[in-house]
Amino acid sequence: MPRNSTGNILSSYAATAIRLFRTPDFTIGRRGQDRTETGRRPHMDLLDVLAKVELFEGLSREDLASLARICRPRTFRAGEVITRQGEPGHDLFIVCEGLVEVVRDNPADPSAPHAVVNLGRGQIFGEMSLVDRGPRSASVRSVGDDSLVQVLDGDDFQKVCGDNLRVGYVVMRNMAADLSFKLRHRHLTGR
Amino acid sequence: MPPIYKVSYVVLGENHPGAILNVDEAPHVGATVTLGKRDFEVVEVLDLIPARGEFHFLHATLRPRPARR
Repeated sequence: MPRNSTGNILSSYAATAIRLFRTPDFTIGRRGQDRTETGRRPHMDLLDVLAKVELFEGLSREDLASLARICRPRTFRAGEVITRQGEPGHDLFIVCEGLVEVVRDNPADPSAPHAVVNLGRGQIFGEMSLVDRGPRSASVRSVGDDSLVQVLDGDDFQKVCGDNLRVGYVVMRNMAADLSFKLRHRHLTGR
Repeated sequence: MPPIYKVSYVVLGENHPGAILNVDEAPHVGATVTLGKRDFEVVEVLDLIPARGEFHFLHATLRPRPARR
């Protein structure tokens, strides 16, 4: 049935209003399969999560929103491999829930890889291959059944940093600080 | 934003890689920390490097607690 002009104008306004005020579809997963959680202002949840990650310390909410747009949530079961040593890849990973174990191959005993460190909430991994484009330096696997990790595509991440050099500077400074912290931890464990 | 404590946990007395994670409250001596399915007791806490923004950087030494039954 054809609409009159008033109806068309109103529906046009309504569509515009929906576009203007619609909550951005940022995602944060929880247990189970990768999924988008659409209730309870999910973008706010993800921004709150990112705000507690040292990598993003010093960034504004607006900056965090630009990074939230490129986050993809994934969950992993106990023992599931997230990255494998020697393989290519330049995604960056943020642990949001659970614990992951970083292990390196043990040439003396291939059946007993060498555990390097466990990483929990707020920690990143994959940053070495992101920066130097080399193969993965270690394997990372989930310790528990419900590890939630946000995955940032390396190219998208570098684009965000390149498009806003202040964001790029802050993130790269924090990434260097994180690598330094991991090195200090390794010195303390004597591994 | 409340403080965030990034903690380097190191386990004494066994071949354990330790852990790094963010917690909402600073660990204290005598507290129990669970890493994976195992419980540990905090025996020492030190500032590792100066705080930056809301982030505090701590080093906590742990020893294993007896396995839960």
